[in-house]
Amino acid sequence: MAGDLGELAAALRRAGEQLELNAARECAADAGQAYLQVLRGTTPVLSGELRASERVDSVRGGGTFAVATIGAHTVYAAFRETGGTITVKSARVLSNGSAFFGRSVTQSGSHYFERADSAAGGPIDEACDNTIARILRDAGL
Amino acid sequence: MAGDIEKNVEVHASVTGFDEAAAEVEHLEGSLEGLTAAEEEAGAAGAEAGAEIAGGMDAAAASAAAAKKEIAGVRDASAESAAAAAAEAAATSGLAAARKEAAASSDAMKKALERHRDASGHLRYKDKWISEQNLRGVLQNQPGGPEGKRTPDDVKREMEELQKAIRSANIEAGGASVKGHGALDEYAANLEKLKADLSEAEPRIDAMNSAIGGSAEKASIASTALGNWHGALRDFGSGHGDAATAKRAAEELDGVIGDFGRTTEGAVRGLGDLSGGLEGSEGRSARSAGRRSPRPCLPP
Repeated sequence: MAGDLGELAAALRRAGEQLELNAARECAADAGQAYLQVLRGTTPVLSGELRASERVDSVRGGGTFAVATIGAHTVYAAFRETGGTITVKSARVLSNGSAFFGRSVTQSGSHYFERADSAAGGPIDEACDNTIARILRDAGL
Repeated sequence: MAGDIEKNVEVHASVTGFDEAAAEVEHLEGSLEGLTAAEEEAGAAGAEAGAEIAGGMDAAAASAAAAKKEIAGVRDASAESAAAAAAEAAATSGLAAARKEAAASSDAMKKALERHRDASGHLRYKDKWISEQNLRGVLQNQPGGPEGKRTPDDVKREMEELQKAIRSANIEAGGASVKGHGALDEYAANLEKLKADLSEAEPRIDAMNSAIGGSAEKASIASTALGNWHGALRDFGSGHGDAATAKRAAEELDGVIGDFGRTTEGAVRGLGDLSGGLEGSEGRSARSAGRRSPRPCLPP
């Protein structure tokens, strides 16, 4: 029993060290992935290019604080989020090849990031829990 | 890229308490190790103590056995001592009784001799001159003589006297208020039977008397009952008593005789006791009482 307790104490110390060093970063990475999954659910899909462009761009930080950055990487990614008016600059009219839209077109935003923010809270928390559990398990707890 | 959109997911990880938990666990571990060590130590001490206890118990058992043996030895020794002391006391007592009896006999013999001495100082017996030695022999062999020795013949004779007394009493009583009572005749018949038994058992009387040496209490009861009975009969015969008292005394004697049993063996035993009670011995008051009781009831 005393031997088991010794191992438990060592595991606790290892877990503590791992958490202080990597918990925030690893949680941010997993939380970013969780957010990405939610985002892909809220992203409007026409060709799929926007959704396919979405990824976790970076995970930065360490210790007790880290940030994961998720982005959508198309020219209209932001436009699709917030919407706006497109005005023709050089051509006479705006056309998508089959239809003509005049000299300017106004689109409302999809707010897919905004909606992802609202929906990602639970998945992010769950992802963080899983990350902490994994760290503890790896530490021997 | 122009048009990109980004979202930052921020994670704050607050990690606290792990060191404290580990410290608690280590403290617990230390405590348990100490406890285990203490247990092991206690176990070792317990085993050692157990061995000591076992050794002590063995030693105690050995001591107890030795003490038991010693006590048994002491008991044996004290039993021997007690037996020796009892024997010595009995011997002393017997010696004292013998001395007393011898002194009494000597005095009685002197008085008896003096009664046979004439004016000139010579001893006479049945109008004949006789030497002191011969007269002593004659007196000594008389029933109820100075030496007080009794034989089964003496007892048988005294039984006959007693039977006479009973029949006399019966006659006297029959002439009065207890006519037809029959109880006294029954007692006389019992004595008749006892007498017959006595004749048959005569050779065994002495042995029985020896065997019933401890029956002084029975002899006392028999002699007391006999004495009471005689007293009641005498009072009744002289007109001072009443039939109820005589009857009660007779029943008492009947009870005594019944206790002794009416079979031959019981009769012999009863006679043994009775003869013991009648036997003249200065050292036994009960027997003396038994010896005296028949005499006053002889017919006038």
